[in-house]
Amino acid sequence: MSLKNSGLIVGIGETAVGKHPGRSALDLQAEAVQKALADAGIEKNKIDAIYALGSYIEPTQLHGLGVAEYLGIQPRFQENVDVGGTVAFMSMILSAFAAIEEGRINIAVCVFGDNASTHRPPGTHGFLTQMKQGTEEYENPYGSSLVVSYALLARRYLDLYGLEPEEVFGPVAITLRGHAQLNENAAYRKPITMDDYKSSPWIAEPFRRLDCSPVVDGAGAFVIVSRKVAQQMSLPFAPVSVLGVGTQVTHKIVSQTPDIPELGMADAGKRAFEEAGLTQKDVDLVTIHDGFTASVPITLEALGFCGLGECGRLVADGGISHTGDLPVNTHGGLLSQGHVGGVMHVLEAVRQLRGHAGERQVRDAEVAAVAGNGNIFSICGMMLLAKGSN
Amino acid sequence: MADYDEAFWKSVDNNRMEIPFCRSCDEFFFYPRPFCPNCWSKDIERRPISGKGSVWSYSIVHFPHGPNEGWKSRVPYIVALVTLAENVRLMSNIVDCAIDDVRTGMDVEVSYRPFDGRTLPTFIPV
Repeated sequence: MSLKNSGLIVGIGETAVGKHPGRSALDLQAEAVQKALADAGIEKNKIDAIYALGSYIEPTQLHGLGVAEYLGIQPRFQENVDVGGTVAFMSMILSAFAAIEEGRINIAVCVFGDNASTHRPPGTHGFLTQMKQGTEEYENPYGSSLVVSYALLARRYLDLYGLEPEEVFGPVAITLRGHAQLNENAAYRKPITMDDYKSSPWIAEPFRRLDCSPVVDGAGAFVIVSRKVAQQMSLPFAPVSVLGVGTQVTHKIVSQTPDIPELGMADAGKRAFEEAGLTQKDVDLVTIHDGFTASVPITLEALGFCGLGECGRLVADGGISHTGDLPVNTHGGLLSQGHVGGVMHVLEAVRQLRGHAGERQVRDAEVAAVAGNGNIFSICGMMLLAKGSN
Repeated sequence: MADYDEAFWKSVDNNRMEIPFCRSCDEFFFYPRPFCPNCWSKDIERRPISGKGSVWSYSIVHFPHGPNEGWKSRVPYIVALVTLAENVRLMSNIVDCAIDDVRTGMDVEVSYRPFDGRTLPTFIPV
C-alpha cells in the first residue's frame, strides 16, 4: 500500500466553536459532516464509511452507528476511533486509505465533536473529566488529574533544559492568541501580553490558566475520496494529499512515561518524513495538538524542527507566528480556538494548503505537518499533507 | 479492585509497602500485575521497598480538577513522580516540604500518612 496512491482529502467542515447548551455532541458532529460533504460537493448517500470518535464527556458505545442513523445514511463500514488527541484523525485516515487500497470503499467521512463546555458535570473542569484510565487507583488518591499529569511532564521538560515557563510556555500562549484574533471561529480572541501570562493564576505548576486549553463545544469533519473517484468528479476545491504518517505508542499513564527525549514523537516524525521523502525544511506550517503550552516545544523539538531545549528562542523570535519561518497553529490551536479534540488541526492544515486561510494565510503553503499526541504523550503521531493530488 | 491491587494497598496500610519483583528479570516493576510486563513471566513476588527515592518531576497543585474532593482543602500541595531506589517510578505526594523547596532530583524517603480515611505512601525530603 502506498499513501501516495490511495485517497485525497476533498472536503472540510466545522461548526461554530463555543457554547451549544441545547445540542448533543452527536448533533454537532452531524452538522460538521453535512458541512464537509457540502464543501466536497458529495451527496450523503455516496458515503461508504464513517470513521468517528464519540463524545468523551457523555460517552456512548457504538458511536459510529449513531452518526450514520442520525444523518440518515447507511454506509458499508463504521468505526469508533478512540486513539488519543490528533492522532485519532491520522488513524482514521490510515483506516480509510487501507479500505480504499483494498477496493472496499471510495468515499469516507471522518468526524469528531463534543460538548464538554456545556455538558460536563457541574463543578468539573477540563475535557476528559469523565474519562477512566483504568489505573486511577495509582493516581487519584494523590490529588492528581489530567492537568497534573501533563504538568509533571512539563516540569521534567523545563528542568531537563534549565528553562523557566516564561521563556517558552508564555510565548507559545501569546503567539497562539494572536493567531486566534485572525480566526473568526475561535473562542478566545482577546489579545494577551507577557504581563497577562505572568499574572494568570496557577492551576498546577508549571501551568498557569493560560497554559491550559479551555474546552469548547464544537465539531469538525473531513471527507476522503479515492483518487480513482476523485478523477471522475468535479471537485469544488483543490484536493490535499497525505504523503506520510507515523505514530508510536509508549505508555498510558504519566508515571510510566519514558523521559522527554525518548517519547514516541521522534520516531513517529522520522517515519512520516521517510515515507514522504521530505525533510523539516520542506514543511511550510505545522499544526500541533496543544492541550497545554508545553506540548508545542516538546513536539517541535522531538520532530527536529529546532534543537532540544531551543524552542523558546524560536517562539520568542516570532518563528512560529503565521508570518514566521515555521508557523504553528495558525487557527489558534486548542489553546485559543478552544479544545475540540484536535480535529481542527487537520482542517486548518487543509485550509492553509488550499490557500483559504484569509488573513492568517501562510504564503506559498505547499506542505503541512500535523503533529499530535494523545493522553500524556502516550501516543504520538505526525502526518505530512501536501497541496494537490501530487 | 483486583487481588494484586488489594495486596499492594494492604502492604501500604501496614506501613511496609511491597511492590512486585520479577525473579526472571531480576527487576522490580510497578504498578502491580500478575505477570512481569517486561518478560511476561508469572514468577513474581512482592518485596518490601527500601523507602529511598528521588523526585523525577513534580507539580504544585493550586486548583485541583481531580476526582478526589479531599485535596481541595489542602492547596497548594505537591504531586510528584518519584523514582524508587528499586528503579520503578510512581506517583505520590511530597509532604513536610515547603512548596518553594521541592526540586527535581531531590532525595526523598517514604512516609506513611493518613489521607481521606486511608494510608498513602507519601515522601518527605531527606
